[in-house]
Amino acid sequence: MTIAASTELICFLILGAVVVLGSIGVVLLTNIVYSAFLLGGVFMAVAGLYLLLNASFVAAAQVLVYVGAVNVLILFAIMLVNKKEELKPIKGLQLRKILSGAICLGLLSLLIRVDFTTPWNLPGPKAIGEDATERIGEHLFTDYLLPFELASVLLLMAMIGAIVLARRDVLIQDLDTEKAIDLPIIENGKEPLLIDKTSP
Amino acid sequence: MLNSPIDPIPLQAYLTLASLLFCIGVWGLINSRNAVRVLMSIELMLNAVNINLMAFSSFLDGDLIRGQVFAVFVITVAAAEAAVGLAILLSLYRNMITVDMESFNLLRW
Amino acid sequence: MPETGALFLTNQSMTAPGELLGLALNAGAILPEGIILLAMLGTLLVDLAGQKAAAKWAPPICYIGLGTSLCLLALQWNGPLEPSFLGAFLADNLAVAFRAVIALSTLISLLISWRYAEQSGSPVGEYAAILLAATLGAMLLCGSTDLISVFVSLETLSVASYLLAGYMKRDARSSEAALKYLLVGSAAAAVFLYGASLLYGISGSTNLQEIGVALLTSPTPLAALALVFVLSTVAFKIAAVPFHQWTPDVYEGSPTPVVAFLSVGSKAAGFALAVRLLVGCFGAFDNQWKLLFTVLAVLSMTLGNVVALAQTSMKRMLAYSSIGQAGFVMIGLVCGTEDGYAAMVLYMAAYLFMNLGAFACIILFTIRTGSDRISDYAGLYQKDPLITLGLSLCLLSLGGIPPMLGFFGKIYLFFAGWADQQYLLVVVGLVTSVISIYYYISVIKMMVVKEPHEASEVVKAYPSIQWKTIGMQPLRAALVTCVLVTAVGGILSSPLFQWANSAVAGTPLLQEAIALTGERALG
Repeated sequence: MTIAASTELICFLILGAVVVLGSIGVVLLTNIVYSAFLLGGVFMAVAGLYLLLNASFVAAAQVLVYVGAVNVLILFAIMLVNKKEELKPIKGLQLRKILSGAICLGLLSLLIRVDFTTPWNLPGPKAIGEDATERIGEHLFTDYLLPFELASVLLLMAMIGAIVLARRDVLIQDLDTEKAIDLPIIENGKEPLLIDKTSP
Repeated sequence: MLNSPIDPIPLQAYLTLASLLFCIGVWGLINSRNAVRVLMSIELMLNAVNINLMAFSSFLDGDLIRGQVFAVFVITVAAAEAAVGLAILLSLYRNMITVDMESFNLLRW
Repeated sequence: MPETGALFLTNQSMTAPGELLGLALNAGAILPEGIILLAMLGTLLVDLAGQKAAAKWAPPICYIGLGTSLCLLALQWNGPLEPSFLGAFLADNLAVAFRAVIALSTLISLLISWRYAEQSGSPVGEYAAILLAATLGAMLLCGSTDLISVFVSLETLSVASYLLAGYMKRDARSSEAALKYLLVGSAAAAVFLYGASLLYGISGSTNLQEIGVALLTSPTPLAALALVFVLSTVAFKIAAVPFHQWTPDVYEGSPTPVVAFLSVGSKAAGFALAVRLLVGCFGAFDNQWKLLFTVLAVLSMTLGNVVALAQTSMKRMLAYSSIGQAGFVMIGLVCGTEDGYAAMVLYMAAYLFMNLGAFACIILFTIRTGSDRISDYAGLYQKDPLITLGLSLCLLSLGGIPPMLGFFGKIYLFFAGWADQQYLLVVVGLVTSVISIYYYISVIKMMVVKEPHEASEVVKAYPSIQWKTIGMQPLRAALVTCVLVTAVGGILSSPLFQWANSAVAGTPLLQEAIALTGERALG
C-alpha cells in the first residue's frame, strides 16, 4: 500500500468515526446546544468525505450551505426557543426507545446487507476529477435546467413563506367591514384555540 | 486515487457509513422530544442520502457525475426546508410556549 | 429520445461549446406553468403596494393566470410527444389531464378562499402566491420524467403545502398541523431520496426510462428495497393507509381552503407521481408493486370509511373520507388495463368537483357561523337552502348515489376492477361504499330532517344571508359551478368518458404497460 493510499484510508476512518459518533451525539445528548454544535461537526466531516471522493465543489457547497446556513439557523432557533422546560415523564418511553432501536438495527442490517450483496457496476467510467465543477455547470444548464429553474421558485417561495409565518404583525382590520379583527380564528372548535399569552 | 488498481476505500465502505447515518437519523426522528432535534435528525438522514449519491457518482458515474448534481439539489432543498421548518416552529412556539413534541396534542395525533 | 442530454454530454468533449446552445429544449411544453409563474410574480408585485391593492388585484391576476394556463393545456391535448428539457419533462395526455385537474382545483380553491383569508386576517397576496407556487410544483411533478425533476417539484409542492397549512399563525392548531406535516413530510422526502439514490446506483442514471430499463436486469433485493422506499413516499402523498396518520390532523388544523387544495390538487399530483414511478419505472416489478398497492387500497378503503363514521368534526370526517376515496382510485391503478387507467383519470376529475363543492359549502357555513361540528348543521335547511342543497348533492355524489357524477366514476372503477379479476378489491370497494353512504347520509339527515325546534344553537342564531362582502361572490360562483357539474355531469358524462379514454390512449407510457400486461395475461 502506498503512502497516498494509506493516508486516504486513515482520513476516511477518522471522518467516518466523526460522522457516526457525532450523529449519535446529536440524537442522544440531553443538551440541545451541544447537539447543534456536534451537528456542525458531522456536516464538516461529511464535507471531508466529499473531498475524498474528488468532489470539491459539492464539499464547498456543503460547508457553505449546511454549516454556514442550516446549522446557524438551527442555533438561532435554539436560542429563540430556549425556555428551560421540565419534560413531563411519559410512560413507556424507555420501551419505545428500545423497540425503535431494534427496528432501526433491523433496517440497518438490511441496508448493509443489500449494499454488500449487490454486484455494483464496478469499475465505472474514468472519473473526471478536477473538471467536476465545470461538468456540474454544464448539467445545470442542459439536462437539469428545469429543476434548476424550479429550485429558484422553491427558494423564493420558502423565503416569502418563512417571513410571513415568522413575523409578528398581522392584518388588524377587515378590509371590507372595517371591523377590527381581534378574534384569532374564525373557527371556534372544542379545544382552547389560542393559549393565553399573558400567563406564562 | 479513485479507480486506481489498489483502491483503498471500497464503494461499500461509503454505503455502509451512509446506512449507519440514515438509521441514526431515523432513530432520532422517532425518539426526539425536542422539535428542533427532530429537524436535526432529518438533516442527518438527508446527509446520509448525499453520501450515497456522491459515492455512486464517483464510483459508477465518474464522467457524468449526475449524482453530484443531485446532491447539490438536495442541499438546496434541505436549506429551504430547514428555513421553513424553523419559521413554523417559531410560530408554534409563540402559541404554545414549548417545543416538546409530546405536548403538541391539540389535534389528536 | 429522452437520453439525448446524457448522450450528448457523453460525447460532449468533442463538440464545441456553441452546440450546447443548439439543443432542442422544447420549452413550450411548460408554457402553462410559465403563465402560472408569471401570475405568482404578479401577485407578489401587487402585494408590495399594500394590503388593499393586493385584495383588489390579486384575485383577477390569479384568475387570468390559471385560466390562460388551462387554455394552453387544452391546446397541448394530443400534441406532439417530444420530451422537453432534454428528457426532464414530457407533456403526454396523462400529464396534461392531471395538470388540468390540478390547475382547476387551485382555481376553485382560490375562489373559495378570499373571504376566509380576509376574515381570518391573513395576508391575501402572499397566500395566493404560495398557493400558486404549490400548483407550479404539482403540475411539473405530473410530467417529470427525471428523478431530479421529480424530487425538486415534489419538494416545491410539499414546502408550499407546509407553509399553507400553517398560514393561520395565530391559531395554535394551524401551526401544530404545519409542524407535524413538515416533520412527517420531510422524513418521507428523505426516505424517497434514499430510494432514489439506490435507483441511481443500480442504473447510473436519473432518467426514469433508463432506470426502468436497468431494473429489468438488476438484482432483486436492491430493487425491492428501492421499490419499498419509493412506494412509501407515494403512499404518503396520496394518504394511503398506513401512511395516512398525518391526514386527519393536517386537515383538521389547516385553513379549510388549503385543505380543499390538499385533498384534490396534492392528491392528483401524488397519483401522477405513482403512475410515472411505478408504471414507468418499476414495470419489471409489476406483480410486486401491484400486490403492495392492493394491500394499501384495501386498508385505505376499510379504515378510511370506517373511522369516518365516528367523526364529529366535518373537516376530519372529510379527511377520513378522502383516505377512503384514495383507496377507490387505487383500484384503477392496480388493474393496469386501459379501462383501469381511464377510470382513475375520470374519478380524479369527478372527485375534483364533488369534493371541492363540499368544501365550498363547509367554508360558507364556517364563515357564517364559525363552526365546524357536524351536529351544528342540524336543521340548516330552513335557514340556508343553498348550503343544504349543495352539500347534500356533493355528499351523495361522494357516496356514489346515482345519477350523480360520482356514481358513474365509481361504477367505471368497479367495472374495470371486475374485468381485470380484482374481485377482492371490488368487493371491499362495494362494501365500504355502502358504509360511506351511511355517514354521508347522516350528515344530510342532520341538515334536512330535524324539526325547527331541534335545530342547533348555531343554526338558530344564523345570520341573515348576504353576498355583498368582498369574496362572497366568487365563493358562490364556485359553489354553484361545482354543485351543477356534480349533479348534471353524471347525466352528461359521455364526453368525460371519452376524455378519460383519450388521456390513456395518448400516453405511450401507459400503452406500453397495457400491452405488457396483456401479453402476460395471454402467455
